[in-house]
Amino acid sequence: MALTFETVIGLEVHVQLSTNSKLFCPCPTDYIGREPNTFVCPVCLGLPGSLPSLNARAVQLGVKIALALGCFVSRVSRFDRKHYFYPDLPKAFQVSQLGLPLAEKGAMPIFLGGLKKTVGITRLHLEEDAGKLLHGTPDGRLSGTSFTRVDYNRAGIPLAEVVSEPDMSTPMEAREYVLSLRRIVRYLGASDGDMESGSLRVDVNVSQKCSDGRVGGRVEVKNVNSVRAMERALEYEISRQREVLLSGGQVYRETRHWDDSNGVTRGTRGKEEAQDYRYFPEPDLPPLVIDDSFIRAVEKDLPELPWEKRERFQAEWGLSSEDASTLSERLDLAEFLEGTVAHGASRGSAANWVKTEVLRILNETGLETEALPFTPRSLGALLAKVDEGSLSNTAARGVLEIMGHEGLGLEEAMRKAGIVPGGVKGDLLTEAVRGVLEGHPEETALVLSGSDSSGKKRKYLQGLVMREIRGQAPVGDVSAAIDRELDRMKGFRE
Amino acid sequence: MSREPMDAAAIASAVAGRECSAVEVVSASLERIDAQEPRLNALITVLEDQALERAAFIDGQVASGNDPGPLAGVPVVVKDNLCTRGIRTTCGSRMLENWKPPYDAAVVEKLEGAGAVIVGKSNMDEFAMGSSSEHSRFGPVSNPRDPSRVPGGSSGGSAASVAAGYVPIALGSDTGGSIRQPAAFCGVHGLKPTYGAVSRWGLIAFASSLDQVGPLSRSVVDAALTMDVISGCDPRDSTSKGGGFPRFIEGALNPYVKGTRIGIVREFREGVLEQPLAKAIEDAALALGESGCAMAEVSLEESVTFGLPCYYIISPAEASSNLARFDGTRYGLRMDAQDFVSQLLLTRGAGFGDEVKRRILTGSFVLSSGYYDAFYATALKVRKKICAEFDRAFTSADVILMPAVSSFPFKKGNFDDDPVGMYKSDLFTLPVNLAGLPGMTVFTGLERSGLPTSVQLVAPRWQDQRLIKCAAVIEKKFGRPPVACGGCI
Amino acid sequence: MEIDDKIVKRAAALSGIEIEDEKTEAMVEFFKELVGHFQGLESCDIEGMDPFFDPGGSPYPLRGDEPVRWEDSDKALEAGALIEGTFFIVPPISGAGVPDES
Repeated sequence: MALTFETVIGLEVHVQLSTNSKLFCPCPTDYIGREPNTFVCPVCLGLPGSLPSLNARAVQLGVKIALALGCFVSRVSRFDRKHYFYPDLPKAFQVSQLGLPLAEKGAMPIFLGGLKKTVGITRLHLEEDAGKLLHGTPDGRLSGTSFTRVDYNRAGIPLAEVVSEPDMSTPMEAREYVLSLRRIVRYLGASDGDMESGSLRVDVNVSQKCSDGRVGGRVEVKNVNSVRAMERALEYEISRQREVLLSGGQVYRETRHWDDSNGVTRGTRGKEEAQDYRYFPEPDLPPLVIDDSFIRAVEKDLPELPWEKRERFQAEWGLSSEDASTLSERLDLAEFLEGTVAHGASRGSAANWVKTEVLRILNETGLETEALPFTPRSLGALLAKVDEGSLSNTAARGVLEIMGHEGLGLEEAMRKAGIVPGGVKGDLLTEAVRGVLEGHPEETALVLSGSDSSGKKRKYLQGLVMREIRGQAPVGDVSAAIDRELDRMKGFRE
Repeated sequence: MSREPMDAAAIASAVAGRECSAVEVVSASLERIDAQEPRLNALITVLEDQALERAAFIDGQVASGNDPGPLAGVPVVVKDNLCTRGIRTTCGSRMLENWKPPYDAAVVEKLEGAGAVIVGKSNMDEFAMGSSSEHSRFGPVSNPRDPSRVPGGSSGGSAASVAAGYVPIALGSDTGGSIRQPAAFCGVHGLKPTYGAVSRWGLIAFASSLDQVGPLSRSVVDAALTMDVISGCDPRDSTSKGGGFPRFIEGALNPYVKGTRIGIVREFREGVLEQPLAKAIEDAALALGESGCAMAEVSLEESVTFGLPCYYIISPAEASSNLARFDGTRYGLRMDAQDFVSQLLLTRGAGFGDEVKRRILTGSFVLSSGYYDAFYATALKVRKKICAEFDRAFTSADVILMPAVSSFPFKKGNFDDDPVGMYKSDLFTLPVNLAGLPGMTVFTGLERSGLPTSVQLVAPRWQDQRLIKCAAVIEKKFGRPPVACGGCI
Repeated sequence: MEIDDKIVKRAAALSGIEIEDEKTEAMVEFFKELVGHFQGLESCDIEGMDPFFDPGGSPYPLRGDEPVRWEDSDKALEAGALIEGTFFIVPPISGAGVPDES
């Protein structure tokens, strides 16, 4: 019987938290692009005699993410020291959390083509980031050898490590998990969640279960620097492991590195024995006590979560799965949408306009919705007019453009666009119709004489009227008005 | 002005009252240092120019009518594991032989803010590991009472500086007895505050959950003055707490101890001590009784039985962690090498002395996989038992009276081939660190040999002022520690 | 418990320290003696004891998030033995240890 496999995937994601100062010292956190070793102090440099002091905001953000992931937040957690020698680790130990982490036992839904799957979250804990190493050759003074440069600006930046249960089984699921986690931390304002700049980092754990009962060792794959790279790394590694097992070999537990340029994972040279980190409780920090009022305060601050919004948009608003996904991707966009509806637009037209017009502007300009020159209130009012028929889509788009480019309010923009409040009706409409008919005597005569059998000329005249009044009347009204005017003209002739 | 070394209280008052200048006082201190250092080797760095400059500044403050602080013009010595900005801070080690910290320790900031003048960084056992101040890159320290003997350790240089009259006050650090034991050996007072009462910011860590900074002095009033200056919560040290201490100086000047229950430790009654030290306990108890204290008996059996192994698991473990950062990259010694690991190995091999290496290896061992539970995790629980035992003792006593040391200062070289033997000299001091309690060595006299006797007082956490009061009573009876012969020039 | 030079060598490796061959025996003897004392703890009844040392007192207030620049980073750089510009530099890192992910 042919051997089949089941892949088991777990992810460890490190998220840099958006605090203003580092985890254990008041150094500023906007270190990117700064001159090396200038955003440092005795604490994050690990100078002899220095001591850590814990940043309250980092704890808040950690708890926020934990609550959003449905975790149980530990009322008492501890920090531990994790020891190893490496130049980017100033104290030769990293302060992390082992036995009593900040939070445990949560879950996060992921969506694949509209189907929901829940991935368990084993734990979330806080730890400090290490410095950065840059390999390469220095100036001629130390010629001949290649030294490594060390920059500690990043050392001490607060990280939340989120460890998933090994609940995923395909690269796609892993992708959706990472995207979902990224979405949440951005929603919460807890992190930039950007893999390219390093504020979100992923280590992958993958193994195979064989149908003959064999279990391949768990392989950790490091150095995946983008979602795409993670997918490719997983595809490669899954295939590699299966090949090994198919040929009767064993997959050993190890750490491998993803080589993106060559598209392969590589084992580490000369397998060293498992690292002994000699964890013990950090004596310089008292236990972290989080009481109910702290948790309640963070809970109050939680927005509706991305998947909650998505499900609501689908179930209650009747949006398609794809639209619901697009519109819940960003918190500011979703809130803009909801605001637009709150100010008079129907859900359908609001969804449509936000997903096309608003999103287009945001993507072009890279702005947040806050920076848009129009508000949900003005967009809502505008769309309400379209919904009630007093404004055509085309006209509305024109008004929106004026609002966008010139930053005018709705009333002003409408005026500028020649829009009449309350729409064009009654005498105004009659006037407009008359103007068009008189301005186009040939076509009018044709219609009046009854030779416009296909109705093309009439349609043309109607189009002109619509344009004239900038769509500010329902088509039915315009048609009726044209009829009335034609009748009147007929009357004169007879 | 008298050429006799003065107490800090007297100096501060004289300088503020313009009876003498800070420069005069500091100059006299530097002269005494100059005269005796060849014999004692108590200091690694003498701050001559900086000290005189600072003294002049203090005099300027006084002249301008500004308050120069409660320790105005007082020359002080701080142990060389306390960071002093721009001034070499070596921990007695080759590893930091030339390191100049870019920042000051909290206690240094406080002392200078109070008008004190640092005249020297004292010699010590390397990285505070030792009980004799023989394990120093800069040579051993001699006991001013008998230079063929050790001054105790690891704050031997600080204790010797005070005993020899260099300065009235020195700061030391105490992890398992490193203030109290050298105080006993040199015949001065030495106080280790409650864990968390004094900020450890800028104290180069040996064992983080045990280390505390404290004063050595020749008078209880001076110890109290210093405690008033250096104690207090510091947000940079997350283990420091505000003790809500009353002003210690009040307790020193008006030591009301009537009704205080003094706990005599049952386990030290039978022949554990040298006879004069046992007598010192009896005499001290009498003195306290005369002032209205009641006597009680307490038991510290578990502390005596389990304290040593417990301490020698926990402290090396924390030390191995705290000293892991020395790899030649950011500061300190760097040995040339082709790759990072070799640099690490060569630097640490050359930078650390043998005792430090022994302790680091011990620490790594007890924390390592397979041994953590049997050793470190067990020691942590034993520690709790020791805490509990002291708690029980303090239900029947307000202050415990016990020995600081079991013998007189030993001869230099006595434990050269017996490192574990030396560990036992901390038997009576290290349980106090394990429980985080305040403890004080109080001088009780000099034998005919010139060697000192002393007792140790221990109080519950945050009751440090009880130590000061009882010490003041004892001092009244036995007299203040005299400057060691040769202290006056 | 068997204390031998393998144990000492492993402890040394974890400590980033090399013990010279001629000093290994002394270190083994030291370990044997000290571990002998450690084993005295076996007779201590630690049933139900919580291992965490808590210096006591109310939970320490956590630090606020105000960023503060430290002005003396240049002095810290001066203390480094090998500097290039404002980088610390180290000789090449080979296999051992946790490799770089930057």
